Amino acid sequence: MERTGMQEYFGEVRAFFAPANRATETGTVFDPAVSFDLENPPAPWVNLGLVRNFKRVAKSTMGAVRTGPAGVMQIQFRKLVDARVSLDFCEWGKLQMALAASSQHMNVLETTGTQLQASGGEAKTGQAVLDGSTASLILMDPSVLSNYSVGELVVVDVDYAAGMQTLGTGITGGVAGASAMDGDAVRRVSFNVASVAAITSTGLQLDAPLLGGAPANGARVQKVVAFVDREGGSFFQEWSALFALEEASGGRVYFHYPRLQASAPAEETVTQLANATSSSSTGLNTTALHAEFVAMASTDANDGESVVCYRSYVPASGTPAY
Amino acid sequence: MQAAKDTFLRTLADRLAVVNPSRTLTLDGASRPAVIALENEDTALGNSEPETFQLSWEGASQVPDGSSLMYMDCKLSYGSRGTDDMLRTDRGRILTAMDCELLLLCRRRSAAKCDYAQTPPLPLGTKIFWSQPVMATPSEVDGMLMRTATIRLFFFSEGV
Repeated sequence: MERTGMQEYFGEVRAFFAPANRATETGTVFDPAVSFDLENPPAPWVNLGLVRNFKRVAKSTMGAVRTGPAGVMQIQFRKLVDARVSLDFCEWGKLQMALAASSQHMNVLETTGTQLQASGGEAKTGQAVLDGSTASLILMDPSVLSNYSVGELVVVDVDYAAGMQTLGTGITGGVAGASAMDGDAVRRVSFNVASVAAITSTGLQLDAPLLGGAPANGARVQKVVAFVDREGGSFFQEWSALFALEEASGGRVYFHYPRLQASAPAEETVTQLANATSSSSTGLNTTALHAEFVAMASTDANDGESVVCYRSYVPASGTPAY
Repeated sequence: MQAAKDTFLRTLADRLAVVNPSRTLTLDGASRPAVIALENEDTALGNSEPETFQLSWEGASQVPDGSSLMYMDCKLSYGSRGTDDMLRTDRGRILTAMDCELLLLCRRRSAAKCDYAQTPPLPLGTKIFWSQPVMATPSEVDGMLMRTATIRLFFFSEGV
């Protein structure tokens, strides 16, 4: 068997994120034994596209027990487990922004034009979602469908009610603040956002299923005109992450972080768009969303060990093991 | 090295049959996807079939990183005279369509290397992979708009 297959060359780094259950502090499991289609990842993984400047840094430290006058090492042990990741998202999107900003990420709802606010003013009243809706088809009163157009972004989630602690159906997009919140507070931070792909006689067909699943009882629809994040606040994004090195020469490598918390403020990486034919400037820049994360503890169900990340290598067929 | 060249040619031809099934070439009475390696043909096509991806192989060397990885540069030439119906004013559009097809053909940048000297082809256990195509400025020759694109093909030398 040729050993050349063990020399690995890879293409781009692809990022996939999935919701983590913040209440139980468990992430979405990635099993390397199950094939993973990079073009069509299985739910609940969300394809966040290419990332650049991907860097893993392990800050775990070891301790040692030494004996004798010479201090000869007898036992080694881990005294600190710490893993971090930094990268630049090449694509802009709601989740990419949220992860890169680390703090609460907000949907700017279509407003009435009154009471201007930095994160979106008083919103137009949401339209009720009817029973029988799914994560992809939002059933509504036919009389209101003419208010919507294909291509518009909408958020689908419940009204805020006093006493709510976490905000967002299926995925926690934020936590209730100390001050009074209006009825749209959940929809301002919800990740149940999608684009209208078609308008049927009964409702809105979405371009992709809502990340949080089918709308909950009492959900409403509002238009989203922009996204905004803020420096500050008390909320940290926490998701499960999977990074894949596209195979080129043979095998594929995955880095799986069951629980990854954003750990850096909103920054961008700006790169000038090169002019291929001359050294003159194109006057254009590509701006990537810089993100940094810290890995949180997860328990491996196979042996109960507490770990923070996994590195998997899926060799190409015919590759020697050693 | 021959296996790498054959695999690349076969991969592009198979993909073209999916990307644009109508882009075919008829040689010696047989129709096939319009991707050929000039060195494999017994007659020079010249400019008689411009709307064909014509591969020619250029320099090859070992990658200087201490591994057994090698590379070989592939030049693809293609172009169009345009159609009579459009008084040949559509040659630029056809060339652009072929540019897009080439990008699609090369999008997935690896393929399992096989020895096509055997029937059926024998998988050799490694993959070939390649760079993004670099497209040169089109040139107009005798009413034909032609472009060349260069791709660097990487492979492990296995003596085949």
